[in-house]
Amino acid sequence: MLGWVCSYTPEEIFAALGIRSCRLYGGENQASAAQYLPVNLCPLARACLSEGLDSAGTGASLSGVVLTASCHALVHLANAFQHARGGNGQFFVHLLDLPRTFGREDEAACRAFAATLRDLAGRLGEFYGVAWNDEAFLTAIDKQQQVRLLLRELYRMRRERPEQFRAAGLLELVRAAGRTRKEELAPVLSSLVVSLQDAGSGDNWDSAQDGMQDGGPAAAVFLEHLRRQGSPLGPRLLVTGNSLPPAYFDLIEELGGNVVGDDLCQSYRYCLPDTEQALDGSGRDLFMTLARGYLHRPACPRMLAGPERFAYLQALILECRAQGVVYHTLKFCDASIYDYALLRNRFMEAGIPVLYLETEYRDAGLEQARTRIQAFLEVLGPPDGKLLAEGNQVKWWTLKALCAICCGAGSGGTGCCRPHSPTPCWAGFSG
Amino acid sequence: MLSSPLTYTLLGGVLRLTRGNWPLDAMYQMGLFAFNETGRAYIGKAPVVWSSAFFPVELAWGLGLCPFSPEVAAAYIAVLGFGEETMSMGEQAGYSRDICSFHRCIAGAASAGNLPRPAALLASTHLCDGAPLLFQNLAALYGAPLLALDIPYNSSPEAVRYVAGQLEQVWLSLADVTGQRPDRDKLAEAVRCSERFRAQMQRVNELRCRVPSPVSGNDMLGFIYLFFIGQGSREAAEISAGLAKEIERRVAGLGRSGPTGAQPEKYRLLWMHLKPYYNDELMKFVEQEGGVLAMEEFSHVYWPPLDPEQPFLSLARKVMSHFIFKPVTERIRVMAELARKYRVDGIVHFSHHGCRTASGGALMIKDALQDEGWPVLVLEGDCLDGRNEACGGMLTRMQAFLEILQERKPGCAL
Repeated sequence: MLGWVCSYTPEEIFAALGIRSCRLYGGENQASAAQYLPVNLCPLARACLSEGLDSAGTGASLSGVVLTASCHALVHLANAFQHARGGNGQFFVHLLDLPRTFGREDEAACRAFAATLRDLAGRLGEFYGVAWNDEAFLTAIDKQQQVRLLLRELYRMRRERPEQFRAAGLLELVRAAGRTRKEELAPVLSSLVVSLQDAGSGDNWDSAQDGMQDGGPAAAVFLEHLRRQGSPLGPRLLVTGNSLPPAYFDLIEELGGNVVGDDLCQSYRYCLPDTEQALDGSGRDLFMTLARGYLHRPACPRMLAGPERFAYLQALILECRAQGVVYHTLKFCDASIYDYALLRNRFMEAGIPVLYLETEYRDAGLEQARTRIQAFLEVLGPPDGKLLAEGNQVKWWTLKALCAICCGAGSGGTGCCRPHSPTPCWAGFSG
Repeated sequence: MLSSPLTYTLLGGVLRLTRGNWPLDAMYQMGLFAFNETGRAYIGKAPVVWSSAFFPVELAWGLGLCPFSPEVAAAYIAVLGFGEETMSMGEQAGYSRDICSFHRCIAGAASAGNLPRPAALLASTHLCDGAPLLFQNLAALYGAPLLALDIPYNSSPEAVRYVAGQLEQVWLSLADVTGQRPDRDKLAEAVRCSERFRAQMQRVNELRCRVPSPVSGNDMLGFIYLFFIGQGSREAAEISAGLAKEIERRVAGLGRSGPTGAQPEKYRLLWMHLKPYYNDELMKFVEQEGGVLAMEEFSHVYWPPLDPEQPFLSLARKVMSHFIFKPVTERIRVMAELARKYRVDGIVHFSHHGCRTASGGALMIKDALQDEGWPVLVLEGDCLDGRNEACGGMLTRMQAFLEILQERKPGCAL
């Protein structure tokens, strides 16, 4: 079993070689990592290391890891796996180069990525003693794409009927996708999608449950997890930044928020690579197609594509009809911290309210987050309010209160996030 | 005031009066060079390009531009005592205290309009996750282009060609943005100067193998300016040559001898990463206790000779050969080699709080080097931000470490 972390990891290559793979998410316990990684390093990397070293759980079945050189936390995660388990040559540790796209469709970067993918396939084949097979590769690409399209359909339904869908349930489903053979998962997802489409927009989840024929017990369990209790009419939210643990999604919903979209590595972003073009002709370079599929999707904060990323998020906000954005950063994650510093101003200029939420990738911070989320939702008001992303002006006192959230203290004047500026952050929006 | 030529005329005169007070004449020459370049950047005598640490700045020198290192500027801001105030401004601009203090300082200085306006910003992705991201944000602030290099982790021949292709593209874009003519002869000359710098610094490092150490490592950390921003300039080549000659004279028993002259050399240390710039208590304490930085990680010349006839391939190989941008085992191997070569008693890893690259591997490095028999101290601290730590704690840990080194000395009574 191969462990992996970043959503730029090409599962298709593992599947083509018949190697089982398992995405690492890490748990609450980060203790095993303390020996290898310092406390001021990404908590997700530390959690994934702990999970990978856990001899009683996932770690026991791992025979290797493939990690992307996305950031220095993951580079050191690879170092730590090598240090802890790689010494005898029986544990496969590979660090996959991941080019920055700089916000453009860069053919040289795609060629470089294709070369590293080809190299990975060769090394894996050698380590596990498996011969490469183009036909199996094509099948793997096909299955992966099917799963992505089905998941995207579920996200579309969630966007339309957020009051029915539990956001954490969808996250758990995508998390499960990263650990399941796609040929097993595709019929389950297909059954889920058909049942939920048939159930329509009314409160027909029981009939959806009854209507599932092909998905088996797994589909029924997923359906139950996807089902949201109650139908609050709170504000519609987009969540972006770093991967947010499921408990925080539940908290947002408990407080009346509707998560209508996200741009998170463990969630919607997993479904974004598009490799359909690989399937419509023979004689193509499949590695190049795969590289393009992964690199051409909307950029994550690490990609150095800030302006393009903001345009993408703005479009996503409009598509989801979101009233506000929750920007989540993991403590010590450079990519998201710098990304937020750029986006914060852009969001403000566009009149899009943002809540900055920092966690240590543990549920321990839930109560602290509760107060901030509650205040943010109160400011945003009900979901039938006007959409900020459409350029509507909002009342000055609303933004003054938003500043209190964004700065984490006071409101307006001395509490403003721009104390050295002649005008407070909300001044430009005064109606 | 910063953009007034008069400022630089007056301060330049003062600086020249201090020549005799510098521990090394090469340091004075470097100070003068840095001062003149800073003046050139602020006065706007040539298009200013910001360069992040470890970006092959030869490209800028080869176009006759004025490279400016905001990271070095941040260190000077801290040395001059404006660090906390400037970092606070960076934090107010949205940068968390969890990131590198150099970057918070730069963000603060930029938001206050205290840095020279760049015509373009140059950053590479390999040794720092934060710098290219910060430069991206500041490029938006200044309305200037970010020209970034994507450096792969694995240095296969294909990857070297990928980087070389980007270097050529960046060079052409930089010429275009700044209105310069891309002249390959000038670029070759910059690479030639860079190669002279490399050879001279290698010579300096060979001379530093002597016991006792002919030069203070703390002083040598000051030459980081040349490593970050000088490579490719005629001045850096000349200053490094002067430094080599000066140390040769010391080794031959001529001129001033010894790093400080204050204490006899008791402990030879290999120093990893940088040092605190906001105050010099730690480094003074080390010297007072008889500690000498026999060698520093950042003074190590790790890259192969450069070929002016193949500037892009040469610079690609140089950038990609950095031992920190490799599996941590490579950094461990290089440090163990330096520890043997410079006959050190112990190794200190100064773990700068916001540096994921260096600090992220510190525990594994300590573990591996201790297994090889080297005493290692991982000293958590911050280069610019003194608000997070009590200096007393650092001194206590350092003192305890030096006591351990003392106990390990042959003939120790314990």
